[in-house]
Amino acid sequence: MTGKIKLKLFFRFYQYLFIPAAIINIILCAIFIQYGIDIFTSIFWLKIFSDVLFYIIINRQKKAEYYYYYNHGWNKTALWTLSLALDILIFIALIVICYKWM
Amino acid sequence: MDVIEISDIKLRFGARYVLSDIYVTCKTGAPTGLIGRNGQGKSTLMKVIFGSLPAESACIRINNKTLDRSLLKEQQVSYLPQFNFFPKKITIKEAFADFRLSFDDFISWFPDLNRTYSTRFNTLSGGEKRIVEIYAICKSASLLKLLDEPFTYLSPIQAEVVSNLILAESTKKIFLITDHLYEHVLQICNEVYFLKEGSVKKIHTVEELEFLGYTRSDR
Repeated sequence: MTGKIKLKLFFRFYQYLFIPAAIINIILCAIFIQYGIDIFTSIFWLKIFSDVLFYIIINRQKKAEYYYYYNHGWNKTALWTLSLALDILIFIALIVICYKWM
Repeated sequence: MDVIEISDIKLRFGARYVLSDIYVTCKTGAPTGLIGRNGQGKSTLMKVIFGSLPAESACIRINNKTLDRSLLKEQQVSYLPQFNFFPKKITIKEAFADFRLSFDDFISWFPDLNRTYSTRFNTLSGGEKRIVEIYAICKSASLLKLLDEPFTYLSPIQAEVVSNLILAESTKKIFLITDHLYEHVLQICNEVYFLKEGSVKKIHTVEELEFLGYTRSDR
């Protein structure tokens, strides 16, 4: 399995999280712009809570599809660790951009 | 010839041992069958061999060399579960690119599926979905293929083509197949194991299946 195909498969998996997480990111950024840095801790925990919720929902819906990724050398832990890390990274980057823009 | 030996598998759910006395050998050129009644642990054994279900103990040797890591981590195994596992929205073109497969070769085996190249997986019929998945697993690069109920959902003609595909691929790959449509399994497998109460027994004749209570004697 080439690295390119593995990467492509990771992004295919990440798509399940991307859209709901992007909606949450937009909402939380709007709240951050409205209320400022004081609200950061609260929106950070909201972000974590939403990711846990998405994990539970996607995990239930895509249970069978994990075997597609297993057959390409991915395991569930690696897929979720990378997906959530990337999502949190995007969230932090958006907050930093919003903070500089404010 | 490549040989995979699976032994010392122990797995329990609570206090009950689901798998305890397992010794199975599979080799290229001779597909191996695994038969057993419902709930005896056939799919569980396949998941343990695949590496998606951790066992208390498991010993897997390839050509007399014991593996330190699971077959899954070694990327030496592909597994066809008994349910559809392709992402619903994926197109056949994308799936074939992921598995690095030739659609022309696929069509040479299954000409009826010529129109499916750009279609999404979830728009295919149950039998078509199964054929695409079976083909992808059989043709993928890994050495060991674990097929859980490959003949279910297939028409008799499709089952025959799948049997031929397995036999053609088995010259260079190792197959372990389980299915309740045991006639197909017996037809293509050189060695057949019967799984009962967590342990396996090699069977040599169809009559043994009757004796073991898997088939009726009046068939």
